[in-house]
Amino acid sequence: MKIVKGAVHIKLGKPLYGAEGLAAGALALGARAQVFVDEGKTAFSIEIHPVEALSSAERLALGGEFLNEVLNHEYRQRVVRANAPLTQAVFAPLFARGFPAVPADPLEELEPQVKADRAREVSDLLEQARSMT
Amino acid sequence: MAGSVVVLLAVADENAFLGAAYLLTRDAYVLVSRKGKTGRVELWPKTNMPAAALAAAFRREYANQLLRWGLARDGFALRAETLRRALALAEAAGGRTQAPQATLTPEQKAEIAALLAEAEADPGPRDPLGIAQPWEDSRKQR
Repeated sequence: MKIVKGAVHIKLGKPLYGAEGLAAGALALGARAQVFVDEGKTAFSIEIHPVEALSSAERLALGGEFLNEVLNHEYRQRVVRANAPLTQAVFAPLFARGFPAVPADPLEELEPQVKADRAREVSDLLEQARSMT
Repeated sequence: MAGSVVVLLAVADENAFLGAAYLLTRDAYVLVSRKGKTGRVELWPKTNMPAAALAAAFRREYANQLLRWGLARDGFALRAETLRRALALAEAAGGRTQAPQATLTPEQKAEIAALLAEAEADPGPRDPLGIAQPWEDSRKQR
């Protein structure tokens, strides 16, 4: 983190840092600064331009606040991912209850030929669509 | 703001590395990077905390986080299974909270009272040899 012509310049390496984290960092600064991001192959280059006139220490503090917020976001995402088995245990039964198996079409149940005709119709339409491309 | 301090260390666990860095954000502005197995942390003190103390705090937190993440990973499957079973039990109970164990239903209270009355009415086991009798009583009988 260094100050060049009044702006705070930071280089953040991938994959420790991601675009979502940078967005979270920029959001934390709000209207106090303009944040510019340039994405390279292995790193992001960030420029933070304070809106108001600030001292060097205040500019570094602004950049530091951005850094900490990005790190906070990245670490939080890691914790969420690591706890996926627990989240899954909670949500799987809820989703299972919320999305029961689709009931069978009564018409197809009564007359198997309807099901066969529909399947053939869908197949023909797909074939027609493929031949158009 | 004082100058920054850089800490380099071999990273065995990236989550522990980030966790330690995150914990330092209270006292410093933190920038992390990694090249191969080497992790690099640059810390800008927020307060008057000496740079050496910050570096030491980071190393200490990293060791701490290594242990915590190791333990957490070991127990994930067990905790997930416990949670799944607890939720299944709650589901079986209709999602309602169960009555506290200490509270007895009127039926249970009546059953206990009947059992106690029965026990009190029972004269107890027979003792033809007078084994349960106090020594003084048996002597008086002689």
